[in-house]
Amino acid sequence: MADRLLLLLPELVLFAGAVLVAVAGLSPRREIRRALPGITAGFLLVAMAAVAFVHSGERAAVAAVLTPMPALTGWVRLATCGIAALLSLLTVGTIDRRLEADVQAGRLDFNPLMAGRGEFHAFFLLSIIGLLLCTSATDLIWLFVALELTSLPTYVMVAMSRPSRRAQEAAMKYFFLGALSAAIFLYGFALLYGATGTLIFSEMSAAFAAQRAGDGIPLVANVGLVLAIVGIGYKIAAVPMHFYAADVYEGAAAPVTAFLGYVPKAAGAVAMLIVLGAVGWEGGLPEPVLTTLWMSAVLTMTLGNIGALLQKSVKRMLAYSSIAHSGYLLIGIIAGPGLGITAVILYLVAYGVMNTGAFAVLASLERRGREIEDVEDLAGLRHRHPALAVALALCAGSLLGFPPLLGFVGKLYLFIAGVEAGQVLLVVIGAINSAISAWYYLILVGVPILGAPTARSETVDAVPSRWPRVAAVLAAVLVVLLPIVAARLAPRIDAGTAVRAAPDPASAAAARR
Amino acid sequence: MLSLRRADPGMGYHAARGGSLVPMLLVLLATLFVTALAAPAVVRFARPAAAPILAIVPALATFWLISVAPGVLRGEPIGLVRSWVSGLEIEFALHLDGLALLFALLICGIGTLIVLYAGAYLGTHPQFGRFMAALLGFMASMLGLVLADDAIALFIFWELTSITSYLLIGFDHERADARKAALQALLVTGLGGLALLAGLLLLADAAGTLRLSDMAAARPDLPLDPRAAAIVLLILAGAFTKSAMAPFHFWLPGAMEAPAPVSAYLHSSTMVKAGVYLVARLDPALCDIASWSRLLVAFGAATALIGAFTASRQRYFKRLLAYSTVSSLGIMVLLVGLGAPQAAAVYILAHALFKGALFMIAGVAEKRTGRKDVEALGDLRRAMPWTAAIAPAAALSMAGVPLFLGFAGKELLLKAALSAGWAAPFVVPCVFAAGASGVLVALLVAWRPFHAAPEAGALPVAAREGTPLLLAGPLLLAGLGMLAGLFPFLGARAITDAAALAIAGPRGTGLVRIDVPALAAPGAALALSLASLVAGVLLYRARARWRAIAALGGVIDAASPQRGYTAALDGILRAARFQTRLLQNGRLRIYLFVCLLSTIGLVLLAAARTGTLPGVPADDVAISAPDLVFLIIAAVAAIVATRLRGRLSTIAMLGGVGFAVAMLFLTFGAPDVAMTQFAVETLTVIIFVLIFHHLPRFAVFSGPWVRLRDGLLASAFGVLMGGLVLLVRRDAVFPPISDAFAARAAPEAHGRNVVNVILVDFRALDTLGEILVLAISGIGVYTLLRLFIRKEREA
Repeated sequence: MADRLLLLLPELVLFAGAVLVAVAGLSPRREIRRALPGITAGFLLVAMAAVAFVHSGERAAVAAVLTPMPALTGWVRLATCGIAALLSLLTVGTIDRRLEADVQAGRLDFNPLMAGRGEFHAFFLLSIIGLLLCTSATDLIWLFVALELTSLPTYVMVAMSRPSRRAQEAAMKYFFLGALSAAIFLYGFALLYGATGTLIFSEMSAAFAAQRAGDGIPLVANVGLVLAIVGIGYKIAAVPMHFYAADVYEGAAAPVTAFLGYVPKAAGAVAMLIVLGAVGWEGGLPEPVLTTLWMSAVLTMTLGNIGALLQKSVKRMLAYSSIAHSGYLLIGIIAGPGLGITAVILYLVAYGVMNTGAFAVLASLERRGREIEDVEDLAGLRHRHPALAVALALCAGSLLGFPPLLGFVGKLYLFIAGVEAGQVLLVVIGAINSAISAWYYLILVGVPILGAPTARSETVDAVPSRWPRVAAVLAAVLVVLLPIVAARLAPRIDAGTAVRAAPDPASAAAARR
Repeated sequence: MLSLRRADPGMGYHAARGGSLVPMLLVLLATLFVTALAAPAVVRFARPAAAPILAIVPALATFWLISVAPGVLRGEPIGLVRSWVSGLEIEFALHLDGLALLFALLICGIGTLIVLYAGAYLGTHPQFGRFMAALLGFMASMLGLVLADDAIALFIFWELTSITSYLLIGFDHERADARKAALQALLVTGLGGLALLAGLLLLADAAGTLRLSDMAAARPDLPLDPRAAAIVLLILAGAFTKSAMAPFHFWLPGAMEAPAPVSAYLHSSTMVKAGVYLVARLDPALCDIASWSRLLVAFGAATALIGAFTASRQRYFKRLLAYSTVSSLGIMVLLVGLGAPQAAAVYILAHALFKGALFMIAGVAEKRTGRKDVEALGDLRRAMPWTAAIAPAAALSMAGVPLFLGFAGKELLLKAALSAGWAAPFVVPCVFAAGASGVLVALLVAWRPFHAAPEAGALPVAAREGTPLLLAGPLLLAGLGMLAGLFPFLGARAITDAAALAIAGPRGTGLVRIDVPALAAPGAALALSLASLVAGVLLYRARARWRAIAALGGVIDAASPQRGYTAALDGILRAARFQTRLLQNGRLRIYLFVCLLSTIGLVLLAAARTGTLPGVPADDVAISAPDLVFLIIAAVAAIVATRLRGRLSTIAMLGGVGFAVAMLFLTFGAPDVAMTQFAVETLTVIIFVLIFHHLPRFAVFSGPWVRLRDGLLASAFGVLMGGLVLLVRRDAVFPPISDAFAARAAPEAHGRNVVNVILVDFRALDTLGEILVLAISGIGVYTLLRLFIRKEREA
C-alpha cells in the first residue's frame, strides 16, 4: 500500500493542486485569480519532479513491479506533466476573459458564483490526473475510472472555454458521443471479465495464455477486445469514433483544443496498449482484433488527411490532422512491445509538443477580440510577428514529419516498428498519407512565411498576454532540439516496454494489497 | 530492432589514418549550411559584392575536394561515422568515394559558378538574400545526399533537397504558375521520397545494415529475399520521381518556372541527378535482382525516347533544354541498368558540363532579349558576340561532335547499347533517337538564335551582351567540356574511372576500360554516332515539317501522366468533399448512427473471424414469472418512450425502464447493485426534469423512414448486446458470485439475511462509497434547485 501511494505521488501532488486552484479561483483578489495558470503550471512541474523521484534509484524497481508497462508509467507521466505545463501557459487570459475585463473596468463587482477560472484549472488538473492514472492501471476498473476521469472534465472545459454557442454545441456533441463510447468500452470490459473471470490484467494474461494453448481465444473475449478498442478509439479520435473531433476542436477555444489534442489522445493510446498487453502480442494479436486495428488505422489516417485537405479553418484543419496522427499512432500500437511501444511513447511526446506549439500560435493571435479562423488570417504573419510565423512553420513542418524535426523522428520510429512487425503495407499506406498531408501542412508553412499580408490579415493582432507566445516559441525550440535527445532516450524507454505477462504471485499479491 | 549486423568499424575506411581528414567532411557540410543561414545577412550588408563573397565557400570546398581527390582516386575513400540514434543503430556516416567525388565536384564546382551567375542575374532582386539562402541550403543538402553513407541520413538529405528546391522553384511566389509548379514538384518528389524511405528500410532489413557501402556484401542473398520486388519498386519510385523519369517526367518542364540559375543548377547538373546517383549507388547491391536491371533498362530507354520526341517539338529555350534533360536522365539510368559504369560516369560528367552551360546561356539570351521563343530570334551574334561564341562550344559537346567530351560519352553509350544482348533491338533505336534529338536541340538553342537569320516578319529585338559575370560560368563549363574531351588525362579520365569503379562495386574487376583513341576506331558505334549527327542536322533543316508531323504525337499528351496527376488530385479533393458532405455534416444523429453501425459491423466481423457461433442452450436461461413481468415493463416503457411527444413524459418512461432493470437486479441476487440503480435513476430523473423544464417542447419530428431506419439500428444493437450477454453466460468459466455469498453468509458473517450481509459486511466499503456518491449527487441536485429557484425569483 505504501509502495502504491509512493507510486501515485505525482497524482497526489496534482490533486492537492486541483483543490487549491478550485478554491483560489473564488478569491476576490484579482492577482490571485490571475496567478491561477501559473499555480497550475507550478504544480505540474512539481509533479514532474515527483515522477522523476518515484522512478529513480531503488524506487524504480518497486515502481516497475506495480505497473503493467513500466515505460508508460515513467515516461508518459513525465512527458505529460511537461506538456501540460506548456498547455497551462496557453490558457492565460482565456477563461472568464470578458468577466475579468468587466471587473477590472469597474462595470461589475466580482461574484464568485460567476467565476469559472478556478474550476477550469481544477478540471484541467483532474483530467491530467486521469491520464497519469491510466498509465499505472493494473485492472479494468482502475482503467475505466482513470479514462473517465480524463474525459469528464474535458466536456466541461469545452463548454466553458469561450462564451460562444459553438462551444456549447461542441460540448454537447462531445459529451453524448463520449458517453456512447464509454458505454461501448465498458461493455467490452464486461465481456473481457466474462471471458477470463478476472479484472486484473496480470491474471487476465495468464487466462489468455491458457486459452491460446487450448482451444484458442473464445468469441466473447474477441468481441470484448474489439468493443474495448472501438470505445477507447474515441479518446484518440480513431475511425469510426472520430466524428466529434472536427466539430469539437473548432468549437472550443484554441487552448482547450490543444489540450484535447494531447491529453485524451495519450490516455486512449495508453489504455489501448494496456488492454492489448493483457492479451499479448506474442504469437500475434487475435485475428479479429488485428483486423479491427488495421482497418481503423488505415481509415483513420486516410479520412483524417483527406478531410483536412479542404479546410479553410485552421482549427478544423488541425482537427483532421489530429485524426490522421492517431492513425499513425495505431501502427505503433499494432506493432507492440519493444520498438512499437517505444515509438508510441515517442510519438505521443512529439505530437503533444508540436500540436501544442501550433495551437499556441493560434491562441496568441486574435482579430477584434475573437479567435482567428481562416488560413487567410495568417497571411504574411512573418512581417508582423516573425517569431510566431517561424514557430508555426516549424511546428507544421514537424507535424508533416519533415526531417530532421521532432515529428520526423516520431514517424520514423513508428514506421520502422511497423516494418519490423511485418506491417509493410500499413507503413506504405502511412507514407502515402504523409505525402497527402504535405498539401495542407505546407499551406501552414507557406502562408505565414511566404504569403503577402492581406487587408484581412492586417487586422490580426497578438493577444494581450505574452504567455501563449512564450509557449509557442518554447514548443518550436523543443521541436528542433528534442530530436537529439529523443535519439538518446529511445533505448532507455525501450528497456521498460516489456509487458509483464506473468508476475510472480508474491509481488502480484503485494501489488493488490 | 532492425536485425542489423554491426559493421566492422575499419571496413572500407582506409583513410582513417589521415587523422585530420576525417572530420573535414563534417566541417564541409556544416560550413555550407552555416553559410546558407548567414546568406541573408551577407546580402543585406554587402549587397553588390554579396555573390562573390558567398561564392568563396563553395569555391574553397571545390579546392578541398580537388586536393583530396588523388587519394580517393587511388581507391582510398574518406569516411566518417558518428553515433546518432543509438537505439536503432542509426549512425551519421559520411563516405567520399569515387562516385561521391564526381557528384561532389559537380555540386561544389558548378555551384560556385551558379552563385556568381545568380549574383549577376538576380542581384538586384529585393528577396535576393532569401534566394541565396535557399540556393546554398540546397547545395549543402545535395552535398550531404551524395556523401551520406547511412540510409536514414541519405533520406533526410533527400527530403531537404526537395524542400529547398521547392523554395527555389517557387521563388517568384507572387506568380500562381510558379507556386503551382513548385507544389507539383514537391508533391511528386516528396511522395517518391517516402516510397524511397520505405524501400531503404526494407533493404536495410534484408541486407542487415543501414550502411550503404556495406550493402553490396548482401548482393548474392537479395534476389532470394521475398521482399526483393517491393524493395526494387519502392526504391525506383523514389529515384524515378526525383530524376523525372517517364511517367513522372511531367513535373520537370513545369519546374522551369524557376529563375535561370535554378534551372541551370537544379535541373541540369544536380537535383535531377539525385535519382541517377541513388540508382548508381545501390546498383552494386541490387544488380543481381533481375527486375532491377530490367526496369532500369526499360524505363531508361523509354524515358530517353519520350524525352527526345517531346523535346523535338518544342520551340522555347527552357522547354527544349528541359525535355532534352529528361531524355539524358533516361540514358544515364539506362547505362546503369546495362551495367556500363564507365559510360554512365562519362555521360554524367559530360552532361553536367554542357547542359549547365546551355541553361546559363539560355538564361542570358532570355534576359537580354526578353524572348523565350528560339524561332523569334536570329543574328544575335552581332549584339551578343561573346554569348554567340560560347554557345556553340557547349552545343558541340551536346551534339557529340568528336574531340568534345560529349563525343566520348555518346560513343561509350552506343557501344553499351550495341552489346546489350536481348535488349539491344529496343535500346539502340531509343539511344539513336535521343542522339538525333540532342543534335536538334543543340542547334536550336545555340545556333538558331545567334547565327541564323531571323524568321521573315519576326519583330526586331533589342538585345544587349551579357555582363562578364553572366558569361564566366558558361565559358568555363564549355571550356572544361572541350578540355576534358581533348586531354582526358588531365583529370577527367581519373575522376570518371574512379566513379565507374564505385558504381561497379565488387564487380569492378571485370570492368572494361576503353581509351579515347579506341573510341574513334571505326565500327558500328562510330557509324551510328555520325549517323545521329546527320539525322539531327536533317531534322533541324526540316524542323517546320517535323513539327507538323510530330504534332500528331499530341495523343501522348492526352494520355500524359500530367493528367493522371491532376486527376489524382481532383479525385482526392472530390473524395474529401464527399466525405465531408455525407459523414462530417455536423449532425449528432448521423455521427451516432455511423458509430453504432460500425460497432455492430466490427462485432459481427470479429464473431465471423472467430468462427464459433453455436446456439445458446435455452435450458440454461431460467426466467421466473416476476422476472418476466419486469422485463415486459421495461420493454413497454422503452417503446412508449420513443412514441411520446413531450419531454417530461419521455423522461418518466425512461425512468420506468431504469426501475424495471433495478428490480431485475434485485431478483437476480444483487441487492447492492439494485439499491444503487434505484438511487441513480431517481437522481437522473430529477436532474432531467430540472433542466428540461426550461426547454421548449419537441418541435421537429423525424419522418417514418428515418424512424424506421433508426429503429432497426437500435433493435440490431440491442439484439447484439443481448446475445453477447447470453454468450458470456454460456462461456462463463467461473461460478456466479451469488452462490458464494449465500454459502459464506452464515459461517463467516453470522447473518442469515444474505442481502444485509452483502451490504454491510462483504461489500461494506462499496456501500460506503455508494452512500458518499449519493450524498454528493444530492448536494449537486440541491444546488441546482436553489440556483433555479433564485433565478426564477430574480426573473
